[in-house]
Amino acid sequence: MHNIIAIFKKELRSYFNSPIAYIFLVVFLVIANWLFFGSFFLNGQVTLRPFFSLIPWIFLIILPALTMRLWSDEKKGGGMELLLTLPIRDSEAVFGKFKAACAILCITLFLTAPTALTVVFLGNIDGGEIIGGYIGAYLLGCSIIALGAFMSSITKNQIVAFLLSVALSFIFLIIGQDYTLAPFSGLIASILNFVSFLPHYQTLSGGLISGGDVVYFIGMIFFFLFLNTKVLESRQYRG
Amino acid sequence: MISIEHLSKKYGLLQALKDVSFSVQDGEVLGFLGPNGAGKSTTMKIITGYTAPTEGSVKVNGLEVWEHPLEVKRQIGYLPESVPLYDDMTVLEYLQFIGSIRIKARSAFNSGSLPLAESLARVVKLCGLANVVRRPIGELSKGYRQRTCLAQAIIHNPDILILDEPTSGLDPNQISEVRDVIREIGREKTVMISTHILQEVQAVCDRVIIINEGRIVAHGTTAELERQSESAQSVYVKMRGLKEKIHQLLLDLPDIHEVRHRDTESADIFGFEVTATGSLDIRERIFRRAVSLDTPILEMRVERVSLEEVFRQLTK
Repeated sequence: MHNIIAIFKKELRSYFNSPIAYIFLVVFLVIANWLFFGSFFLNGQVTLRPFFSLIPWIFLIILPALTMRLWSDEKKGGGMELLLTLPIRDSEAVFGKFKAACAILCITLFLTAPTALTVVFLGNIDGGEIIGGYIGAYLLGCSIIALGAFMSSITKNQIVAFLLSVALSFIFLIIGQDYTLAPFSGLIASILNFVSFLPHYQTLSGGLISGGDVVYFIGMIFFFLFLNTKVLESRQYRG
Repeated sequence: MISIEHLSKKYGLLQALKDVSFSVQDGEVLGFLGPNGAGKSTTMKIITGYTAPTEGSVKVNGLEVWEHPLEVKRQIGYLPESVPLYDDMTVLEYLQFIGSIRIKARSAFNSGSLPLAESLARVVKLCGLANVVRRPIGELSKGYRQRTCLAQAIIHNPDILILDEPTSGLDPNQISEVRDVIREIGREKTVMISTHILQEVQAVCDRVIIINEGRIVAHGTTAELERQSESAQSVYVKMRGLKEKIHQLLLDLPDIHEVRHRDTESADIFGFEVTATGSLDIRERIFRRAVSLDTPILEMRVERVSLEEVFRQLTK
C-alpha cells in the first residue's frame, strides 16, 4: 500500500506541476456545461439526463489525454527502467498511476456539482438519477482510464497512445448500440451488448443502481489493469 | 556480492551477451569496461531485474534475481545510463519520492538505513546538491542531473550499487567529486560501474572486466591486465651521437629483437625504442655498452603498455 501511495502522489504531483490537470478540468467543465445548458433552457425540462448522456462522448475525447502520458512518458525518458527496478511490484506501479488519473476524474466530477445543484434548485428532480449518474460516470471514466493506461503502456509515443485509446473506447461505446447490433442476432448480439460500456452506463445513469453493472465496470477496470501489468512484465520474457 | 553464471541474452537475432560469468565481492569496486554496444548496460539491466536473461543465473547476496525480485531490488541502488528524472519535479520532491519507496522497502528487512529525512540530508551533502534542492529538475545542468540521479541510487544506503556510466557528461571537477563518492561507498559496499573511460577504471576500480561483443575478453586488476599484454618489454633510450652509430650500438647487444628510431631531439640527440626477445630487462646492458663506447645516455625508461593499449588490443 505504501508503494501505491508513493506512486500515486508522484503522478498526481506531475499532473498538477504541469498544466495538464488544469487544462483538463477547464476543458471538461466548459464543454460539458456549454453543451448541457445550450439546450437545457430550450427544452424546459428539469432533468440532468441530457448532461449524463453527453458525458461518455466527452470522456471519449478528453480522458485519453489524461492517460496518454502515464507510461509512454516513462518509456521515452527512461523512467521505466528506474521505476521497475525499484523494490515495488509492477502491479503497484500500475495501480498507483491508475489511481492518480482517477483522482483527477473525481475532482472533475466534483466540480460539476454546481451544474447539478442548479438543476436541483430549479425543480423537482429524481435523486436516484443524480446519484446513479455520478456513480455511472465515475465507473465509466475509470474504465476508459484503465483502457487508456493500457494503451499508453504499449507505445512510447503519446499521440499514438491517445489515438488508440480514443479508437478503442469508441468501439467499446458503440458496440452495444442498436445500429451496430442490427446485423447480429442471438448470442453475438447479447455478448456485444454485454461487453459494451454504454448499456451498463445507461442503466446506472437512468437511476437504476444495479450490482451487475457496477461489477461489470470493476471487472473491465481490472481486466485492463491486468493487461497493463502483463505488458510491463513482458520485458522479462526469456527469449 | 553478485555472482553471475553463464549469462546469455538475445534480443531477437542479436546476441547481446554470450556465456558471461563473473562475480563481484563485498567491498570491491568492479569496473566494467567495453566499447559502446558491448553488453555492459544489458548486464546491468539483468542484475537489477529490469530484463530477464535468455539463459544463466544472477545471484545477489545468494538470492536469484528472478525468484526474489523484491528482496534483491531492495538491496540494490541503480543509476541507469539514461539518467531518468522527472523534469517537472524539484530535486527534493524527486528524492523524497524515490527515497520513500527505497527506504521503506529496506528498513522492513534491515535496520541499517536511516529515516527519510536523515537519508535525504546525507545524500544531498554527499552529492553536493544543497544549492539546487528546491529547483525543478528540468532547469538543472547535466552535472546536477547526474548527481541527483546518483543521490537517488544511494539514498537507502544499499549493499550493492550498480552505476551505468556514472561520470558521463560531467566536467573534470565533478568527475573527481563523483569518483570520491564512489570510492567512499566502495569501501564497504559492492560496487559495479560501467564505463568506457579508462582513467576512471584506474582511479576507482579494484578489478576490471573487459567485455566485447557480449563476451568477457579479459579480467583482473589493472596492473595484471597491463602485465598480461606486455608480450615483450621495450625500452626507450635517448642518446647523444651519430644516428647510425647509436643504432648499430643497440643492435649489437645480445638478445635484441628490434631497434626502432623514434624521435630526433636535435642534430645529435636521437631516441630509440629497443625491444628485447622475451621479458629480459636490458637496461643495464644498454648502460654498460654506452659507457664503454662513450656515448652518453640522456634518458632511458621502460615503456609501459597502458591500459588503453590493452583495451584497444582486446576490443579490436
